[in-house]
Amino acid sequence: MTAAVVDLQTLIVLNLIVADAATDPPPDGCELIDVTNGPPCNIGWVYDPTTGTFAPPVA
Amino acid sequence: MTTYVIALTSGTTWTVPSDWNNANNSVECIGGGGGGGNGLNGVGGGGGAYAKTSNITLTPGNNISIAIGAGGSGGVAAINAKPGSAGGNTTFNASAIKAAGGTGSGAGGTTSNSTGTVKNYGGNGGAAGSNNGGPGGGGAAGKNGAGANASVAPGNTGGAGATGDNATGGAGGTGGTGAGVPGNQGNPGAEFSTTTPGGTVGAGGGGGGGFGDGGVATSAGGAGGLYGAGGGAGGFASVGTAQPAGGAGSQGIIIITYVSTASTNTTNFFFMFR
Repeated sequence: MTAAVVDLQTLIVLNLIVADAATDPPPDGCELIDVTNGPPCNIGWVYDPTTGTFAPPVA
Repeated sequence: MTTYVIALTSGTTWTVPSDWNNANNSVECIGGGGGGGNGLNGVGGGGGAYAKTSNITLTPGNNISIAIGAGGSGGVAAINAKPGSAGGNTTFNASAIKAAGGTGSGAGGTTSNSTGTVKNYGGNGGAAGSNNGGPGGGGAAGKNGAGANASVAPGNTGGAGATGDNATGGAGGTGGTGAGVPGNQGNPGAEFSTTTPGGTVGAGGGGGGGFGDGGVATSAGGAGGLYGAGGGAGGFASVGTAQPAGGAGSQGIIIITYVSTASTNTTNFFFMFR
């Protein structure tokens, strides 16, 4: 079980951790999104809450 | 005097036990390993870094925030080049202690991106080189030193993964030796004997690289061994055909060691009523 740690203000993925997004409490100011079976995600990518997907940062 | 060695491998909080000893403890972190790239110029994933701090002051009963860095995904099978993704950072008490994850571009987790009084580098994944075999993943750093760097593949056979923790951790997996024979997973480390949950844990060895002949005979890279090792890259197929996937990096870990204060209290109790 892999979770993306998403900053609630910037929606940037701060870390990828081993945690249960449904039961483990998120760090302050963050949300845990389950990415165990996708979608593709990487640290620094930006979360889109509308589609539930992640996109690389715009260069 | 009872010594506890606790391994944390998932979750976001840890509760300080009632017999926590501020004067005799250590917390050690290993970051997640990076994933290896697919066969088109893919590099091995970097190993996670190591960080340690001793005798930290904590309040029994308090919940401490933790993060166990996930292993990076291997680059997927595709015609185009697909690098692996980075391993996550492993942290304890916010980022009071932090071990950086290895990257998907070959570099191991660095000490400059880690926090602690003792820090060691994760090993680098092997470079793509000019041979068709995929390079292996980097070894995880550990308490005895840095993870080893993986080398370029020797030919069509995949390159070996690198050993973790200054040659005291898990050995690297061997490379794939033929079509459809993937690189082997790196071996797990065993430098720590834990009381919770029991067994051994440590810095893992990198995954072996996949086989490639530059044509259609290829195989995928192997996964990193537990904990914190990089995945091997896939072997090289001819351009325009599907390149085999890279191996995944392995997750990080936190190891907490402390001498219980309860044993001291028991001794005092004994002498009080003797």
